Amino acid sequence: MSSLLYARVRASAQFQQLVARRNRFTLSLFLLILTTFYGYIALVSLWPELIARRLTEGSNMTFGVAAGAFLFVFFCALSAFYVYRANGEFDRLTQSLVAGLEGEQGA
Amino acid sequence: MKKLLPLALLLHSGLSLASPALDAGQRQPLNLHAIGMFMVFVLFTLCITWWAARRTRSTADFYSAGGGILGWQNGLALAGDYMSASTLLGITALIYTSGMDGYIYLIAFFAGWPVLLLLMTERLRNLGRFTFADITSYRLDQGKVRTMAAIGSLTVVCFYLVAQMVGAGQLIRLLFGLDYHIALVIVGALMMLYVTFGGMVATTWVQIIKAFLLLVGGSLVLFLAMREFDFSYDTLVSKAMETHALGERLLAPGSLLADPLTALSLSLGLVFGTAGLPHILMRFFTVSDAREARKSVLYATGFIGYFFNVIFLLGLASIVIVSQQPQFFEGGEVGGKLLGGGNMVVMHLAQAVGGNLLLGFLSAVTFATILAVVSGLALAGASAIAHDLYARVIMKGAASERQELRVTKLATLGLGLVAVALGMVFENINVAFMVALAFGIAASANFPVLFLSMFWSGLTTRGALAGGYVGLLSAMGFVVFSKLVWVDVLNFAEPLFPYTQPALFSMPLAFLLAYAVSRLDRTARAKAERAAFADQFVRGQTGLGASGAVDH
Repeated sequence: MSSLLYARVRASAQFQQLVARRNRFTLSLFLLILTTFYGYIALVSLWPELIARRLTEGSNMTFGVAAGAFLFVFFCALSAFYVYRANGEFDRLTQSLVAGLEGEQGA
Repeated sequence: MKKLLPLALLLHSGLSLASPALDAGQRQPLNLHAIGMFMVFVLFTLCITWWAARRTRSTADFYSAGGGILGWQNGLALAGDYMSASTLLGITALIYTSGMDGYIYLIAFFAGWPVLLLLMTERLRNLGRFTFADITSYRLDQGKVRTMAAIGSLTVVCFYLVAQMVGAGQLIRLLFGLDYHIALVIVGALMMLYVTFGGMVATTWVQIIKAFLLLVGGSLVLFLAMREFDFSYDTLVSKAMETHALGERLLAPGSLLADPLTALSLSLGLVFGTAGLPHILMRFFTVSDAREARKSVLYATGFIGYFFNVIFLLGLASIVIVSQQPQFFEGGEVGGKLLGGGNMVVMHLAQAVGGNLLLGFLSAVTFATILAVVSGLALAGASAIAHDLYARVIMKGAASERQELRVTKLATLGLGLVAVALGMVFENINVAFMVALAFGIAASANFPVLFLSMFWSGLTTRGALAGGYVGLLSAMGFVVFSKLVWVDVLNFAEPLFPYTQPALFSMPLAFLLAYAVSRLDRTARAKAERAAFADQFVRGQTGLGASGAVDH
């Protein structure tokens, strides 16, 4: 792949749009993961009674286990959402970007 | 803190099994069910190796299965790398003794995956070909930076391999009643067969089959165990609380995260150590493109998330089922020492709910697990020697494929022999420090340079070398001066370094040095390297020019 082609890609508005959108998306998911995960760890360290508390009287489902199970599901869902957008929308943008360049080259 | 550390170690190895508590007197009688089922596994995987060998001709086939592994297959293989024997044994044991702490640990251990997906997957696949050193040396000095990355890889692989071998020997003696030395030779020989003949194709399939068996085995034990509680989590928990000494406190956090600094260091080490393990990173190159790589991490996340929750329930179930049966305790004394040591909890559970047949099955799967992980490690080590050091650094790219392949196979044999020999040397030494070291080095030497090379245009050769080598040495130093080596192995009274997890200290140090040295680097070469980031960035983002799947 020639440096010239890379330079053309870099200069294209479509590429910049792709990078900006994907970065914003990835960063927000990343921050969401860090906040929920370290939030949970902080609760464990600072408020252990809450972790052990039952959700309703007479039930054995505690806040800690419920929130933990939620984290498992939530992280899987976030991953799925990321892959859905990255493999769909962002890949389409990349493909049309590459196709556009090839079109130019052909002309 | 004292309590936390061994836990950190038992996660990725059979290590806690190597603890002094487990002495030679506990060798079990020959377990024929287990040996029989293991033989079936070995025969089947050898057939796969034979099949794989016929289609492994080029270096691309050997290192990355020609990029022809599908997303879900690679996902299972990745999950297999992560669901080690010790995750199954060690964490059920942790839940059995401390309840909630085990679940918190599983969550922390799981959180690395979405991070790996978001930060690393796409660029790794777009920029690399066979090893992660391909990426760190992409625009930097090939000779020096590749050498550094290869040394980092090999150090991680060696420590990890020795830890696995010692754990394997102990575990197999316990489960199968085989002699420690025979167990090591079997593991070493099978590993060499899989890797030298079948390369990445065979290694991946061994890992896929084992991951599948582990998922099925774990689920089956859980299904049978949950029958005793009418499949009700509520009943399970109330019975567990009635039985366990902790009572109502069973689902309250214990001492695991009592020291926030250690907890932070540990979680950093786990998350970023995982992102610096050469045998995990290598898997990203076995799929055709970034799209499949993302899918494979998503699958892996799903499998791991499921399995970790199964482990939690298995731990709770064994509190009720195992802890009340005298047959599982030494001298039949309920509440005394468990037969075979604390890590055998889930094995006892399998026997209690499914008899000897299920115990045999789970034992065979555990053996298969060790074999699969060891093979992946050997392949990663061999690729660092043959692809990075031999083909790129020594021969400067002039080696033919045949030469490179021959070196890879020789390197695999060499690593196998070294692993068996070191396994024998370390038989009676507490090797717990080796996993801390492997993770610490992965997080401090491999990860920072890899991350900066992909994300920061300013990284130069000098910066990468400074960060990489300082990360390597400081991680080693911190572990040697910590309790794990200084007190436990070298028998000094007081550790010189108070924490056993080095990541919180050595990883920022590596980042800082890589940054500062790169910043101060005013050579013409550094300028060219910074300028080259622009092209690398486009390839990393779009996959333009990335190596694709090889046609057969």
